[in-house]
Amino acid sequence: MRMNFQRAVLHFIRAAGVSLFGTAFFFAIIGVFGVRWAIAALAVFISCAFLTYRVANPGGASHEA
Amino acid sequence: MKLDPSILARTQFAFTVSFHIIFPTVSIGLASFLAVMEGLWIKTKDEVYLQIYRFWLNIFAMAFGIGVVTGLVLSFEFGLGFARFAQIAGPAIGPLIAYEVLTSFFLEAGFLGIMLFGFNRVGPRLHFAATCLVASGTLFSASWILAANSWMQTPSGTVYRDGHMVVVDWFRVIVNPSWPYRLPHMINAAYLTASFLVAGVGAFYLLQGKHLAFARRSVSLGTAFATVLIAGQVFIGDILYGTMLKHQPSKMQAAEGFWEEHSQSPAPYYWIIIPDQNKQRNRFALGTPFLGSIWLTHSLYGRVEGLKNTPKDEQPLMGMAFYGFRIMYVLGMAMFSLGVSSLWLRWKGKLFTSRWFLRALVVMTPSGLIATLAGWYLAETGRQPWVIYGVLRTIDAISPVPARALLPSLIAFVCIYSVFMAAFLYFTLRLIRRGPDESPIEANSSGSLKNALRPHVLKASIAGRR
Repeated sequence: MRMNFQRAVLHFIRAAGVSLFGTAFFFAIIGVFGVRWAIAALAVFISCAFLTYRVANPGGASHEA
Repeated sequence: MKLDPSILARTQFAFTVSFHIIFPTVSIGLASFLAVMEGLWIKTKDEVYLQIYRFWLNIFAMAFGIGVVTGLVLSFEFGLGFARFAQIAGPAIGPLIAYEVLTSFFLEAGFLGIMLFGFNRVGPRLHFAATCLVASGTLFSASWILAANSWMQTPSGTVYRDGHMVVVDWFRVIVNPSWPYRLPHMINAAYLTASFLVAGVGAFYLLQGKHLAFARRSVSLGTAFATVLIAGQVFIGDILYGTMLKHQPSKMQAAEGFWEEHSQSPAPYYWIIIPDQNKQRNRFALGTPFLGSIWLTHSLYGRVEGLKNTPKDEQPLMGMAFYGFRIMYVLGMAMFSLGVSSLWLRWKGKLFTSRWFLRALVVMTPSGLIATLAGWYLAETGRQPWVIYGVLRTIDAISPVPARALLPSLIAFVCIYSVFMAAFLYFTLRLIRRGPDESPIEANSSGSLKNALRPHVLKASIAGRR
């Protein structure tokens, strides 16, 4: 019971943390923190997308993106 | 009942242009997608790329055909319903449309035939070149049309003299203040539309357990393109927002749903409003506290400028601009969320098995089209009451013709376009139901167009098709 409660709390904290991080990242891309942050966030986002595509591409060939 | 010719002319143009924009959006997006697919097929010889190419080529051809036909109508409508606009703005708008014909239509007309019917008549590289040239043609077309429309939004490089807009600087007419941002915004929107169409159809097949190789590759490519494109789109959108705030403040004031010259502090971000244009206030408003200040002024307590900053007779209708913007924005956020989710699922190896994600992709299949339409509603209704912002009012641009001259053509357009749309949806859905053609195709490796046009090759090719 206690373990379940702890797990639920941890799960909630992690979900809230990820949501906040995601919101801040979205804010960064849409220019809330200025153009420099927007460009940096966009570069990070595209790099992450490209890296994920290259490393974990379950269906297609590795050269697709 | 007495019909107002200005309302009829505007309704007719709004209807025909709203219908038209659906098809170029699909064809611009799909043309470049097809070029990428064919390029990957030539490079890897992986048949799945060719299957995807052949499947989407049919839908591209239909969208392209309807797009050209309905686009031509718009040029004639300048003369039919907006003769004064044609007379006054013709010196600037006319050449831009002519350049579109010269650079884009001629290119597309020259190579579309090879792209659609030349697969087993010319070599793969020549066929690929034809696909790339058609894709370039769609981009040139978008550039000229966006130059013309952006000039109407932020006119520059012209002076008003003797009842005409006289061009003094062509460079400034074409590269007007909003064109450098509106063009990538529109092209990105077309690419996003294509990405979600491709991913949505792939997800549909995965949920049905059919055409699995085709479906996996479609979902993989569609979500990969969409993820990168949507991040770029919100970034470009933000820069465009700043540009429009500077050059067309009334549009952005209407788009945010605030009336007072300065909003309350902190400003909420409105999601739903019921505006009362006559009383210059909202009858109902629902928003998120602080978010308006953060997004629009980039501070916690910033105030947002309202529509009362614009004289009442120069205000656009708030409801149209507001909801055009909100629909586009909410769909953009949904696309962004799906893009991030796709990255996560790809990382976890669940991209093709997560049913909630596949269902969401199917639901989002037309999202690019809806967002593009909503964005154009913001652009066009937010510019009102001007047809050329700050220069010529829409009411002064309309042809001096009676309502009876406009009503029959409006009814005819509604009837004919309904048939077009029904036919497009019927054949597209039939193609999707039938699925990709999995039979092998033999491309002609003889190469040159000259060879393909030799009588015995043509004869053999036609016999082969039978």
